[in-house]
Amino acid sequence: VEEIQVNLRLEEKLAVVDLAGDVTSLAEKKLLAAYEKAVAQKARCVVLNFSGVSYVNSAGMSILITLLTRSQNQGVTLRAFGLSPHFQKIFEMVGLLKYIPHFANETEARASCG
Amino acid sequence: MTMPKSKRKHGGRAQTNTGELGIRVSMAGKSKTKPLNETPGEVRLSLPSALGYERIAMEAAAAMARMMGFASSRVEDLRTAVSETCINAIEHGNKLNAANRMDVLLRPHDQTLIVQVFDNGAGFENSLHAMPQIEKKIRGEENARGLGLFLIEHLVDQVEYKTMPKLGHVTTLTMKK
Repeated sequence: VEEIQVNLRLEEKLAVVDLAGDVTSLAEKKLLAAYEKAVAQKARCVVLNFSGVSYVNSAGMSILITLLTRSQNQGVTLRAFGLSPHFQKIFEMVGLLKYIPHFANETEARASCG
Repeated sequence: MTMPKSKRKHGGRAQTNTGELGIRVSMAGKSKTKPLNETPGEVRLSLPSALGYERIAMEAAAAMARMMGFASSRVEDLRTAVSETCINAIEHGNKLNAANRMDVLLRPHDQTLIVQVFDNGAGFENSLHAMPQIEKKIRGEENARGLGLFLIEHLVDQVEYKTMPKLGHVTTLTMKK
């Protein structure tokens, strides 16, 4: 099983988390660690880059729900871009896109952070 | 938003029976084969019951659907549905016991692909699974997991859950072109 690769790009009050690989239960530790590092560095908006992701299962979506729980408690905004049309549909079906809005590209996602 | 498909069956209304399934079911590492009514072109996979092997079933089902001429969006839907069905079989049916096997049948017909996933478990409730209450999950009032069955039931044309005494459980997915 392919493990996810997570790269964190930190800027003032904004962080971009580049994901490559599969978002499954195996991604939990790395994804949550990247988020916590971003918040510790005062990021108020975290942008998830799914461009390098080819597979997301329900366990992976549950990790995103955990991220949402933390982000809402901490007043941090989550944004996303790079999801395939199929996974945009899946995220919409389970209600994730309501809380993690998806944008056409990184520029638009960053701009939405304000 | 994808709306629920109209024709769904669950264990209580199942039209098939164990003999019609033509199944091979593994019990604690042993297999019982009943090759009845085998479909021409049928593919049988016997996989270790461990997370990760759902990818093999998913890719095999996707390859079969492409061979049959399914639209790419339907292939993607099937990939997710098969993956989630197998994850349920591994986690809940076989309870992450690596001594068990998970068997997958791909049964192509003219306009339909049937995928059956067998495990040793007791199966699921015979009712459609409600849309996840994501707000409750975010607030921690519901387990963050529990999205799989909802996805399966909304991505394929028909889902059937059937428990077979002493043999285990089979989930049957029907996908039409």
